[in-house]
Amino acid sequence: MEIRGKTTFFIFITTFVLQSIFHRFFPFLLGLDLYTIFVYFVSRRYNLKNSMIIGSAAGIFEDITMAHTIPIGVNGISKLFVSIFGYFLSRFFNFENVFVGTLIIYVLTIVDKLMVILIFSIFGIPFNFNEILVFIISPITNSAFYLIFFLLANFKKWKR
Amino acid sequence: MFKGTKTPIVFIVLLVLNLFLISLQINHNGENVFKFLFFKATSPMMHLFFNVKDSFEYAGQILKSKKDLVLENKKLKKELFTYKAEKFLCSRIRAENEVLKRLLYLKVEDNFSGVVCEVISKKFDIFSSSITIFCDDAKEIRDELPVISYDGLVGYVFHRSKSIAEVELITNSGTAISVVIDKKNIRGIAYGTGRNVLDVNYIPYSKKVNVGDIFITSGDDRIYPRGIPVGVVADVKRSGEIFQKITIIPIVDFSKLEYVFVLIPNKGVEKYGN
Repeated sequence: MEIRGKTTFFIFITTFVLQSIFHRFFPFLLGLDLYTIFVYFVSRRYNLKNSMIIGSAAGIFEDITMAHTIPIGVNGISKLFVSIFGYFLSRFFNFENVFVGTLIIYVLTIVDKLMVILIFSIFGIPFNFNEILVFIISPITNSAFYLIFFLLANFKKWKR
Repeated sequence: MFKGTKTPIVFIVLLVLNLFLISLQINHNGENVFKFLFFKATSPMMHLFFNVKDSFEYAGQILKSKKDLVLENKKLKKELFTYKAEKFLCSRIRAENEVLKRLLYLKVEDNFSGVVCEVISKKFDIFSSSITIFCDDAKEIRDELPVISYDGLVGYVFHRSKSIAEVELITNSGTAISVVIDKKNIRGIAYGTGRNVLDVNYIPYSKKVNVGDIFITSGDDRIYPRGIPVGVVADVKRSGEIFQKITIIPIVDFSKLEYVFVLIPNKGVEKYGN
């Protein structure tokens, strides 16, 4: 748990840094949400309770770092549900398969964005067309990023 | 789904925590977000409640309107009955008006005027056929004055008492009227038979009388003025005697009489006729 906690923290920091970099320097990567991939990663390795806690915390952190573009807590709830879905999906499907993993990321991103829209609707928060566009593109961007990342990570293994 | 007792609690705590965080940042038109969420969550129930309430109110309105409609229906029925009664009265008045109008424009000779009287009773039997009339202005009415309707001759005043007068009909047994077929100048005397026909006597064989010819008063009897229709020839018998035996039916339908006209001679005229 100790080692796993440190690894998780490291991955989280990496996610935060990458997300910030992409957000700042590569705005064409519209809708890329590395926190969803991070939550999926957590839900694969932790039990449900810890997955929920880490996922929700990551969501709140994401809200804080998004500089008041959306209220703090919105991503907290959405990532909470993403962690639950990710936990069960990763137990039902073979996540080692690249295409299954990509598909799961695609589904989880949709769940995440749907939850955001739902919360916005419940609280009566208005959202513009650009945000809707991001919600539509985000699952594609996320799954594409996951696919590239997975292929790069397993490059040596395949080479052999 | 959730293994262990703590997992659902953690889920709820995290959910509430996040909702709380959101609620701290959102304000709906000065309304607390929890209040807003409460109303949002309970809105289906409230909607249902108010719908039921509205339904009951609507049902109440229907019942009330039904009661009003029943009352209105009763009122309308009453009005309808009134209008029907008025219509009936109007039809009576119209008929009466028609009769009076025809009496008013009745062509009578210049040497007498008339009084319109209402028929109040009728009596038809073999011994005596008469009607009783009521006249508003009965001062000038006296016995033996002729009585006519707009169709023709009715009879004569037999007896008067104040505003009431008894009129003996031309069909009464013993009544005699001097008559003539105007175009052919065939003269005779019509006698009442006690039935609804008159016999015309004293018309010789040489005079040709046809069924359908109309007899009018000739004025020879000095009781009835000339020109009033009396009856239509219904039967002509040539039975070997000197004169023909002619039966006529009165032009006036006595059973339908409602108003009659009592002819009163103008001053200076003692007798009618030529």
